[in-house]
Amino acid sequence: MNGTLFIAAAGLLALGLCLLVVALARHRDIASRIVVVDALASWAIAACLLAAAVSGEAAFVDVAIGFALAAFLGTIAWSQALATSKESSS
Amino acid sequence: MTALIAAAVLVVGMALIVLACFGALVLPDALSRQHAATKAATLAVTVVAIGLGALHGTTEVWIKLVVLLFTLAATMPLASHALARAAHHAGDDTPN
Repeated sequence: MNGTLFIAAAGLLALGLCLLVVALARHRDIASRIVVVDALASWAIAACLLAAAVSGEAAFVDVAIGFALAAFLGTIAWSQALATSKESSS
Repeated sequence: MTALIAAAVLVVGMALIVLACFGALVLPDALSRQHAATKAATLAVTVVAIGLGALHGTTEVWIKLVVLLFTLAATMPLASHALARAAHHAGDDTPN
């Protein structure tokens, strides 16, 4: 029974990734793409936690913490790049 | 029984992740997409973390999950604010 629920969770996770990839391809403005990349980071954290749940390895949670920190720095850097690029072009 | 409920909570968390991804795909402008993606994703990760903690309820796992949730609670609003501000200044906050 647990195995079935884990497969359902993995299926939902795969569906989420497909939606994000389509969103990344469809949105034309840079801000929306940064939002999608941010959502991809949240997706990856959830994937790490699912991996921890399935394998029973607590080390995957460490990976998720690292991912959360890297995603934060990434989002801040991209936002700053977006803000400064528009300022210098206008 | 606890393991079954924990696995069901994991599935609910994944459904929330799908909701966040769907919002990021269909909403009309960058700020709405961000509204869907960040809030739903934070809730989803919290629910998944609770499910994982209930499934492997060792002290080590709970401490790591609390650190993860604290990290998310501290960084997500800052990142969202910076991104929304940049989108507004860049003029990307109108429907396209």
